[in-house]
Amino acid sequence: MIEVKELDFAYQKEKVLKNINLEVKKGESLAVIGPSGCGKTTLLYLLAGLEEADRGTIKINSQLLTGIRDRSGVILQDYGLFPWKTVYNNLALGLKIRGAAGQEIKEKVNSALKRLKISELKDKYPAELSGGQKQRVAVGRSLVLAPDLLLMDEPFSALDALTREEMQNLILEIYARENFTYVLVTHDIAEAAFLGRKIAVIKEGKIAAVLENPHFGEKALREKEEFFELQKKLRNLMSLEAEGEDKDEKTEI
Amino acid sequence: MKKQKFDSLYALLLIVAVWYLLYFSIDSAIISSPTAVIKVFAANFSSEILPHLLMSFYRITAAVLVSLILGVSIGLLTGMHPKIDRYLAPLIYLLYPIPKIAFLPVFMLLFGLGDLSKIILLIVIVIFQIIVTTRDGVRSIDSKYFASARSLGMDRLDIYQHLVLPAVFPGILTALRITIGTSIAVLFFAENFAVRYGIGYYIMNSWSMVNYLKMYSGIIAVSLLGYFLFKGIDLLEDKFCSWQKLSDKN
Repeated sequence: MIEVKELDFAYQKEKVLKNINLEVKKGESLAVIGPSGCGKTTLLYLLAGLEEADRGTIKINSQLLTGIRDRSGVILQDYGLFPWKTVYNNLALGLKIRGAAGQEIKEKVNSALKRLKISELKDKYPAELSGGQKQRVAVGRSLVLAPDLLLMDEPFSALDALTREEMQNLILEIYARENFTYVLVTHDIAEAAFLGRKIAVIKEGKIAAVLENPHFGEKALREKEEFFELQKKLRNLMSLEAEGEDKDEKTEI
Repeated sequence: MKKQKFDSLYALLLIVAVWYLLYFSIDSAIISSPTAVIKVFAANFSSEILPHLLMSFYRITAAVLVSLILGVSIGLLTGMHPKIDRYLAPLIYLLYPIPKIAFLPVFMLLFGLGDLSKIILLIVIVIFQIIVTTRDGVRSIDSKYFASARSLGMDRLDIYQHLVLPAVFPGILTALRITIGTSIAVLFFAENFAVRYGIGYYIMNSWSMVNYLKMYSGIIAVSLLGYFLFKGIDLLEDKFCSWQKLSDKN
């Protein structure tokens, strides 16, 4: 599904990403974790086609990525909902831009609202919603486009712990039901351990390690021993790298 | 809605009360009795005042519409393209503070004695406010919205339609409110030159004929013209910018 080869990206001469190699299979889920400023958001922007790499290639479904893809859904930090549009119109926007017919828009938006249990909010503006509700709308805005790839940039970082878990469950629920691949960028260790079948640790613009998460998607994963073990491993990896070890290691996924 | 009606009524009562106070305390014909003025206003409204008022309304509306179309376009262009702004901003800054009203004779020479010269005078006064407000409005849009727009696959035109215009619209309405006050004042001046219709002409003509009752009737008409124009903008705001009045929950 996603093939990233020898990707470099610099922002005003400062190298943000260095020689990134990455592969994500169709239907797989990848969590990218790293400290603030490690380049993980840039990687997501590159995958979304919002930024252009200085070197290297990104292929999605074997096609070279040259810009925004119609079937990539993107959920940005702070939700990115337009405050002047109602919930309904925020959801309808992507379809409208793609030239969908009025009836089709209505059906798809109403169905997404129902699936996300936010039908009663459809005439409200984002400012009238709680953080969790806004997040549902942001998810809905991507879902109506029936994406084959969902890219999420710290989507739950502004939510309280309980709402965050609720939203993480929702993502898994939707993922189990619909057929898409997703990449999630986060700085939250528990979130990466819960939402990634694969977890890539990024440090100083490089992929420092990749972990498999065989228990991904299991019921009540949060209460299992393995979940804590994985988090411990991730924490160790992140702190090891913070001390500057394995500096030049190049890891491929 | 009821509360708003009451607000307007309160303002009206306060103005009339102060007027009465002045009328009783200053013993001069130049302060006419409010009751007498209102009677003259009512008696002459449709036959005399309305044609003058409509003419002024036409001049202001035409000027504001042209200023909006041109001003918003230039504002969007300079806001979205820093390169264009680099060349246009100095021009705007140099021309904005010029007392354009002094150019009325020049405009009358160039564009004739009729409506066109007055409308152009209004445009050159009003347009700068709209350009600057629109440009600054565009600049203050959070970059996260542009990322969000692009991630949805919006092209340039979509971005103008769904992001930039709705974001700057409340600012444009504020600019309109300010410019309408200015336009009425400027029009009052401009309508004293080579016109036979216009509320400015009506007021000054009544004044020169020492008919203070009619002069005050004209002033009431100007006030009402402004009131309804402001209410019109309020309506636009309620319809298109209600989202702005909501306070964010987070």
